[in-house]
Amino acid sequence: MSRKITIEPVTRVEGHGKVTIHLDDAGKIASSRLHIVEFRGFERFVQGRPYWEAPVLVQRLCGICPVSHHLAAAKALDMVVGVKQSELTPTGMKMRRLMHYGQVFQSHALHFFYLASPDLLFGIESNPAMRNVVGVSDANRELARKGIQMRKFGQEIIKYTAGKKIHGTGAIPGGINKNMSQQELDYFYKGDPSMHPDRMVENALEALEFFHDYFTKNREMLDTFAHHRTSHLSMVSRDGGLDLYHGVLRAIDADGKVILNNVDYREYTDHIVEGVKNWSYMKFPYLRHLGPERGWYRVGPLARLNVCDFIPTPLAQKELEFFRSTTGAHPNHSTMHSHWARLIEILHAAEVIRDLLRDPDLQGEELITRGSKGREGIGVIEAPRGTLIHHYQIDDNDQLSMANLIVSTTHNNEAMNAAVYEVAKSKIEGHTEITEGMMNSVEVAIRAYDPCLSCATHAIGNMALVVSLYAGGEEREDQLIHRMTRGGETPGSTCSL
Amino acid sequence: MNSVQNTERILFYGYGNPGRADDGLGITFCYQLKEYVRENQISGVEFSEDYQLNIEDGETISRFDSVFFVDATKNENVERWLLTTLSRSKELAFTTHHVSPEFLLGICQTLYNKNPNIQLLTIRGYKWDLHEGISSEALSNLKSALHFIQLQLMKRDAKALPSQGRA
Repeated sequence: MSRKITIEPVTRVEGHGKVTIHLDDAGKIASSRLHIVEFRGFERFVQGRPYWEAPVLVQRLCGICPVSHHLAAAKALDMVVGVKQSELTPTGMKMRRLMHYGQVFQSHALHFFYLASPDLLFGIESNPAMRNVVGVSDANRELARKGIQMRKFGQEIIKYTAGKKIHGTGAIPGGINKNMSQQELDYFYKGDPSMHPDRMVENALEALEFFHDYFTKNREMLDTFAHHRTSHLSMVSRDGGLDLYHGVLRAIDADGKVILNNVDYREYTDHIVEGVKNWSYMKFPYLRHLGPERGWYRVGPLARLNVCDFIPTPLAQKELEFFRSTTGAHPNHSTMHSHWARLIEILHAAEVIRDLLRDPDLQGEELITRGSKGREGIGVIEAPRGTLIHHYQIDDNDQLSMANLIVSTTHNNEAMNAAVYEVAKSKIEGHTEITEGMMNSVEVAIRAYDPCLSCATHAIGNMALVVSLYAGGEEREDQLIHRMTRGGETPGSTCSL
Repeated sequence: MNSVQNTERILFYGYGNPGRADDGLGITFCYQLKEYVRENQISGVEFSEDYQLNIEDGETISRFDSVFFVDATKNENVERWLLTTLSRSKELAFTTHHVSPEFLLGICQTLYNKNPNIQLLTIRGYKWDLHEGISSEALSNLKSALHFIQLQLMKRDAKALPSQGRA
């Protein structure tokens, strides 16, 4: 008899999503879907606003990665005001880079230490009461303290570059509106030693050491859990290095062959198409020349380390070499290795931040470049979760007349659905009883992508959730086969089969 | 000007969304008290403001002897403002965007072996729609709370800080 399983909501991710899994008459996984049930409408309601408001407005998309949207919008509006990235003043460019790497640093730290580490420390099917940041604090104080220090450091970098930790205003069309004062710089060099940039490099190395040890003991799980072959896309510098702020678009297929190379991101519409499906508000981008079936790809830390040729900071480059040695000459398709890739990016960000903070250009007085105004702007940045595209057009009244945003998690939509399918096949197929561990297994696969489903924030466990299995496809008590409750009942959180 | 010397370290932490009218009461309170502390050269008092409390604030508060969290409240049982002493909690809200002061005290004790005196000052608000600026009624409550805290700061020593109060 065919069945349908619903998991709603997905926990320890940003935003609201639900998963449905359909089993056929033989109990095999017929299909699985990650539904994004929020409708935000930003692309529509920013229209009519003055274009210079965009970098401030679009930050409200997210309270976890607002800086990414702020900078992507600022880059797009640089184009509108006729300023190329190479024409930004040294102070403007370096303040923006510092802001961005601070954002990546804190976002990755938040994800690894607060959201992902409970699964790694305690096990995917461990007691959910322990499987959260409180459990981590109790079990491994040093790990928890490190996570807090790193998140705090990244937030302070954002505060001193963007003006405040959340929804700052530092980046403006053509440059920035503040430099970093000596007093602000002293916070990192003359204040609390735990906020020293060198300490952050040490913390990043220690976090990697933790993961190396974990990898040694759990390699088979990390290699095989939610493993699925995909293409990968990211921005790289013109010489092929990892660059999270600016560069060209590149993609490789599952065998490592380059399928998109050195594309100016202003031409993204020639290469990326946004597909739609009737069961989700999130779109399904794919590479135009390959079509929807073959053209989808992953973005984010794992993709970036697969796509780039090298990392331009020495310690992270050394880590990349070790990371790549585990798969030889082939791309890494192990979804759980995203956590490892994320830690390598934390180290890279720490090195970049340390070097930028030493640069006297941060105290420069020239903040803005002026150019000739145009009508269209495109800005692309590598946000913590992956490639982020902002595209605007303005009218004769300097008001926004069009906005198209392709956020990182949207690029990963097809890949996350594929991950859910893989885990459903390995963990749920053939079982009549759903356990909490099975549900968390599906969530772990999604969580590895660090998705930002927007709005509702990180749920850190004990979300009230009821999963019920019914026969015959109808939700009737006389058809109930099995019900599992976590944290109390939530109306509407049921599944039918 | 009076100058109050004291070795105790106090943090006032205001939080809320200033873009939603009276939800900005906590942050506005801190801005005004900061000005008072500066003018009167009161030592040992620091300030922090943010939209919401975060887990890393558990580390921040570990550096202080006393912490006053300041927030707006809709609670109709609070006539103008209310000051209460808090104890630790391990209870997690559904989301990290609702980390409580009690939870932060738990983080502080577990990870940093510190046990600051934590109090919550809630100021009654009335308007919560999307705009900046405190309503006149709420502002009156803020000034009342401010006056109380200012008096306590001027005559304080480590034991004289209020453990609770109400207006």
